[in-house]
Amino acid sequence: MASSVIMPKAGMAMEEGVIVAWLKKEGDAVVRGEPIAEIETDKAVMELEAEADGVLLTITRGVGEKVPVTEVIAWIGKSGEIPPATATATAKAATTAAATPAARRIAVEAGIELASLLPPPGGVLHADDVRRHIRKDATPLASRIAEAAAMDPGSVPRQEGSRTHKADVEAALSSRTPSSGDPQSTEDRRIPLTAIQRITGERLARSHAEIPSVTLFALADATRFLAVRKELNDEGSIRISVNDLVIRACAKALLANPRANAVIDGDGLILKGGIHIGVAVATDTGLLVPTLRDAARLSLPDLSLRVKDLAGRARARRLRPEELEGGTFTISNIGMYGGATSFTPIINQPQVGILGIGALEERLFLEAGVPVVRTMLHLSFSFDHRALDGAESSSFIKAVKDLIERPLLILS
Amino acid sequence: MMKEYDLVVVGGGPAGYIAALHGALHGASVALVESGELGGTCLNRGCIPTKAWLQTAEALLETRDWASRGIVLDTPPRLDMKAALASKDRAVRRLTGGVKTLLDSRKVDILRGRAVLKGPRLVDVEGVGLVTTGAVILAGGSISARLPIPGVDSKRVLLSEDILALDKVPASLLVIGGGVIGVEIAQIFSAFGSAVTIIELEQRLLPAMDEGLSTIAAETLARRGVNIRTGVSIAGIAETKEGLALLLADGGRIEAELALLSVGRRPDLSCLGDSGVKVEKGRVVTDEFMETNLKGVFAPGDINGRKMLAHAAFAMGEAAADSALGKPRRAELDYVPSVVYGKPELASVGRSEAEARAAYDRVELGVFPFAANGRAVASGDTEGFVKIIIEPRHGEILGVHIAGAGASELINEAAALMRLEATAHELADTMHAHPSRSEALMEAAAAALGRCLHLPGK
Repeated sequence: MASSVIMPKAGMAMEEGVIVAWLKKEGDAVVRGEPIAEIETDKAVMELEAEADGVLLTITRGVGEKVPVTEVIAWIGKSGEIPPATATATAKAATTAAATPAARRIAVEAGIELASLLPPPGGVLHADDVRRHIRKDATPLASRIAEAAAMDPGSVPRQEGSRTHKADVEAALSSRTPSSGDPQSTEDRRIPLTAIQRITGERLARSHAEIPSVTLFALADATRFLAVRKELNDEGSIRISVNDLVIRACAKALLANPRANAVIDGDGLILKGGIHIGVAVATDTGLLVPTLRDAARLSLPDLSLRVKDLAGRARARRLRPEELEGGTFTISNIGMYGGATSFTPIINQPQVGILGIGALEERLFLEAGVPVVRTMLHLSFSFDHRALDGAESSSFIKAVKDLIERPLLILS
Repeated sequence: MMKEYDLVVVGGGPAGYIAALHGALHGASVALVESGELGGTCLNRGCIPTKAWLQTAEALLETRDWASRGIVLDTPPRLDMKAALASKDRAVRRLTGGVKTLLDSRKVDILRGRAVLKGPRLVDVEGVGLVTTGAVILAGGSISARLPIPGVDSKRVLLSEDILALDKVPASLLVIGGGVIGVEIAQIFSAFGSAVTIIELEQRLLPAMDEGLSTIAAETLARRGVNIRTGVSIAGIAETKEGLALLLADGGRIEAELALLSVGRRPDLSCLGDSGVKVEKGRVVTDEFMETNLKGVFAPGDINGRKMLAHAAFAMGEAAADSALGKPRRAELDYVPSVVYGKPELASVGRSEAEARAAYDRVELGVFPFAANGRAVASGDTEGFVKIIIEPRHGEILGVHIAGAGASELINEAAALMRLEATAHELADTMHAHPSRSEALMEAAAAALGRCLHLPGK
């Protein structure tokens, strides 16, 4: 008997997912555990594995479709078997639109409701039908200009509720080839936010609005810290970054300051048992914060490898949803960008604190009347004042600062 | 206590009454202030009365061709000028009355009197007092422009509004200014029997239009006996016993019974008072949303001098009303058709050939004469052509210029297509009823693409 493939619920908060790609075609043989599709949640892209051996009988939801969790997206069974969903699928086609996966993908990319397209009599919408519709939805002039420039008019961003006009295509063309555009152009351009940017934006805004946050700044003498790091890197095979060492220092400081490693829960504060540090990673499509689990228990090389792995997969959008959850504290590092010295990071709700790592800066000090150069690290600590008071928060950042200034304690 | 309004509109012309109606449609309490007749220049002293008389003039001209169609008049037709005047006035009254009905139906208060802006939310209405309002729309319109030459104030020098009140046809008429108004009125009085001379400073009639239209206008008017003098500047005007004499800068002299001064129109700024509304070159400065430098004060229509046309004023009036009521809206003035009525009718939308050549590397022309159009031939009215200017790579329609009967109707198809960004390809492939004059537009598009089958191959 055929078994269904459903949109998985990958994470507590997940309500729906988008099918990014089908890795198997209808009729392909699949083996249990083999990846058959890529699913995108609001945080990451993950692979969906087959839960049964057999043949991929039908794909019921196409690429680009947003599907509620637990809804059927495909059927696996014996070759030639008729999936039980056919009857319901046919009924559904009457209300939504029956379309090939390619047709759905093109429609989603162009922002077109498939339901607004009339399927050909008795048939299923094919990619060509959707493309024809897109061409119709662009003005004739816009289509011709796009066609002449080998640009798909369906890919051109346009004003909401409007057809694609000449101006839209020309704007897209000039952004495609900046050299041909006027560098002095003063025209406004609208760039849609990515899903991640939208979601991150909403969370940041809520956090900023809801949390009475205070930021403390500290300047830690990182001269010895940097020397120790250099020694480690000269000796070891794994390149340890400043960030790795600060994460470890932070984990140790959290062990000593449990109130900073906590989450707000209504009118209570849950002091978390494990220390799971979220590490902010900038990606092409927005900010992601994968979680480094049990940061305090990892050896420094392990920690470094884990962070590299998480950051790399965050940039490739190949994180599993659970890897973006469960953080108890967050670190954000802007030191590598140069420019700013320090900043006030925004707390990642429901956590109560976030450590900001700023720039390294050489400063002159007088030591016993002799000027010496010290490399200082800018640190900032934003905390939820409902959870921590001034003494507790100062104690935490002082702990971090002390560890950086006595780097051997970080390694211990 | 004076009522406070959401919107006070100064001026009952096309920009003003449309702004008032649009505001009322969207739930605003609106007052419209007008000291004269509703309908503005267009209805009372411009578009409408001239069209009424042009119809009379064209009917008279047509009777000359009737014999060739087999209709023989035993006595030649005679113009009853008093009846013509009455007929024109009836048309005007009916339309201005229509505006009043529309305003009443939407509960717009009509305040009678002159209005002067006192501040962003304050208008002083003569006979009413200070009226407070959420926003002000100053649709003050325009007045006939004058020339700073000696003798121009003579009673025998009429403005367009004066000439439209004549109940007697002058033996001779000098039209000073060969623009739209001058060309239309010259045709009216030429058909009515006056000996007409047009004096134009520029080198051609209708200098703002595509040259092809200027040429055909000059040819047809000349054929009907209108004397056209272009490239002429005027030194002064002197009254004579029978009328007046126009003194030319080159020493020449032209005599006539009456003269019409039709050298354009200029914004009527009398409603601005000393409120501080910014004015440049005699025009109120507005942004695309029709807002002036004073927040909450808007100025659509002729008063801003962007496009002194009633249909442009409609568009600006609506945009101003939306903007004034907090929903900023641009006045779309990209595809404004312009028409010179008469015989032949002349109509344009988009760029002239010269403008298109200046703006684009390559342009192609498609010209289709009405002489090759079945409907035109059958009805015996083959004068004119459709000229379309395209950019050949994509077939973008850059401009359409039409001369001939029905041009004022045909041009709207072109304007719609251009606004929807249809290209010459779609126009050439859109089936047009046969026989119809509109086919000429389709054929001109095909000609521009080098595939018109109703013109001889090269």
